[in-house]
Amino acid sequence: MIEIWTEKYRPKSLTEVIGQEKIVSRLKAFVKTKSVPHCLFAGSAGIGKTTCALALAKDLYGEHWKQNFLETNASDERGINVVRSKIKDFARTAPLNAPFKIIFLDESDALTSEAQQALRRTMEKYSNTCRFILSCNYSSKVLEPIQSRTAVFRFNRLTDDDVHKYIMRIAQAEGFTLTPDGLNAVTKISYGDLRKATNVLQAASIVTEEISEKTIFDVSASLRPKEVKAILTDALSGKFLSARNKLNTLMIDRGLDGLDIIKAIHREVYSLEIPEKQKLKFIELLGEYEFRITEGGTPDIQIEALLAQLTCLSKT
Amino acid sequence: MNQLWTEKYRPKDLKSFKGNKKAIEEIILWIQNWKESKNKAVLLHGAPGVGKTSLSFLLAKSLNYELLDTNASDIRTKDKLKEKVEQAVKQKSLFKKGKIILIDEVDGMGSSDRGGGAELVRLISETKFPLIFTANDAYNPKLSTLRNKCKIIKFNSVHQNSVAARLKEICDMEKINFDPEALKAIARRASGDLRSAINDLESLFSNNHEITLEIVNELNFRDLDQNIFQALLIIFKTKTYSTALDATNNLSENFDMLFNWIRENVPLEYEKNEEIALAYNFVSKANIFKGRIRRRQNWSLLKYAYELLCAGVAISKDEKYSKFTRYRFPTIIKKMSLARSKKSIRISMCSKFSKKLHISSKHIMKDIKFFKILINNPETRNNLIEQLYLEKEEIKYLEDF
Repeated sequence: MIEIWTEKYRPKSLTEVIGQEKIVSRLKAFVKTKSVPHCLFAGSAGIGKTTCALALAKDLYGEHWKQNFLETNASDERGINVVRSKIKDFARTAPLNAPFKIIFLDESDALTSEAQQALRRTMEKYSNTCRFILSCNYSSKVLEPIQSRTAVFRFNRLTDDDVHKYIMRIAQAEGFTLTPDGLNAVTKISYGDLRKATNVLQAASIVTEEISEKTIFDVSASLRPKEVKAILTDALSGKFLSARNKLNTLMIDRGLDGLDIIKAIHREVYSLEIPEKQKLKFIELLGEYEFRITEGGTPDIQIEALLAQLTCLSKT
Repeated sequence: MNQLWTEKYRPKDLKSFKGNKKAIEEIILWIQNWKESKNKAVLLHGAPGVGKTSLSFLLAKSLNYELLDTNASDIRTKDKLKEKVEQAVKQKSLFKKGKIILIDEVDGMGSSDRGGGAELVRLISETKFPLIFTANDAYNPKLSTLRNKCKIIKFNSVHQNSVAARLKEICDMEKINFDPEALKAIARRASGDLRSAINDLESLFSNNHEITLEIVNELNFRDLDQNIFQALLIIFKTKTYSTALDATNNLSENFDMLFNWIRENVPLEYEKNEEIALAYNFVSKANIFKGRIRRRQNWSLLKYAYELLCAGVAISKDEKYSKFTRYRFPTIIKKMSLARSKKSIRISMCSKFSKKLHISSKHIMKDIKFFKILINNPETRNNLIEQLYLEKEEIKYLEDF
């Protein structure tokens, strides 16, 4: 048994799933009638999309679930070849002791549009032996024709009560306690994302048995606010080269994600010691450069260019 | 007989092989103790022209083995490899000699060689004879699985004195008059690539009867940086649109290389923050065009990327600086190649986590600090390593993160 809690406490059956009551009851009906349409699970991270897909397969197939279930993550394999080879190969063969197999395409909004096109025919052609469950953060990023072939399930953000329920379930099983402010901190940081909550809790429980707000903040961030602030302070005081070096360390040496850095910068803007009007200009620049990344720019280059703009901010 | 010098003067015995003495010893030892050795295959890696292939042939000859080879010019899909190599891997050699199997240029196996990579890994587990792979860069992500199954031996660039010595031997055999300084100059310019040095020597000799320093200087060298420096100099010192564009006319570098050189040196050349900001705005826009080209494979857009980059950066200054700037090799490229070895470790580590935890590599990297805590904690450490089959280098990556 793997000791990573996100797996240890991942519900094994639909009955154990926390929240998403309406969706779960529809899925249970699928199990009962042994019929599943193509599905699209939409919703933010850590609210149960993968869990529901896995639990559905386990409930449906029992001990044979592994033979009848293929999971592939589109953010790692996003090209057309995944559809043409891996998915087709699996879809082609007969299911084991079941009316059909299930292919779970996680983060399917990351599939190239070419691959999504190829998926359309595949979904129809093999629908006798195979049903597709696609998951995504935003259903709008999945091509219309694919959406029209699926039953869309919108997963809601979990309420604080749901998150508390889940945290207490783990706390009881693992034998640690949380101070009230600790519990609040986990809830706040995870923002409904149970995977994040679980990881933070496990890390905190290694440090101490009584988890407080401070422990939670200590273990939660991979990008420290201090580091981001140092970069911004350098840039704003005109020290571009120094800012650029620090940014390179984060992005190349530590391989941090560009959009995460932009988000972190965004959080810091308000506490910077610059006039309020400048903050507004800052935000405008930030938005512009984030947009440039989505337009095809490379994150490290665009953020670097943003820093160059910031060096002039104090004087304009 | 009209043979290329690089073929004619491939070393005939181990004694005349230049450079990489340590690597040679290591390989010989490995072949001789192959039956007991844990690694059934070696991966020789190093820059082009340092002798990876030559040495393999030479070893077979001098240790009295038969050699079977396949290189990038052969089709190497799974089936073709099977056809050609599998029998050889299993069967005894004719005349009861030992056999060495050389699979050359494994990093040259393209996407059309489908299944070839997996087939190689399978061969390693079945082979009854020493397997030698060669590649320019062992840390190419394509080779990550293969790399873990091989003993890795690095070939260093050949020292310029060794290169010069080999050139002298060839001149003596061809009875060419030469100026020793000229040979040194050729050796220096080859920067460790013995093969290209021999090619240069041959092309010089075909037009001249004597090798002098003067004619060496006329040779059109593979001196990459020279070109780039000139282009940078023009772009940074002009304020005229068309002049800046012309800077790239004779440039053999690709766009990305030029891009990174300019990006690196903008803040070194320009001193006012306003200039840097303006220049970077164009750098950013050129980068967007490059992204569009990549997405749509629409290379006709490349001209706009060039103009935004070269002309944009050139006109971003108020006045040209009359100072001398020592232009710097792009940090990003230096760091990237350093980070590359790390990157392939990161990819293989992420895929292991990814399978167990049902999440993408991107998410793994977001939570990487958490996994670091788990690996540093004695209670969870062993469980994690066993469950995920983490390799030493992957554990170290996590610990050092």
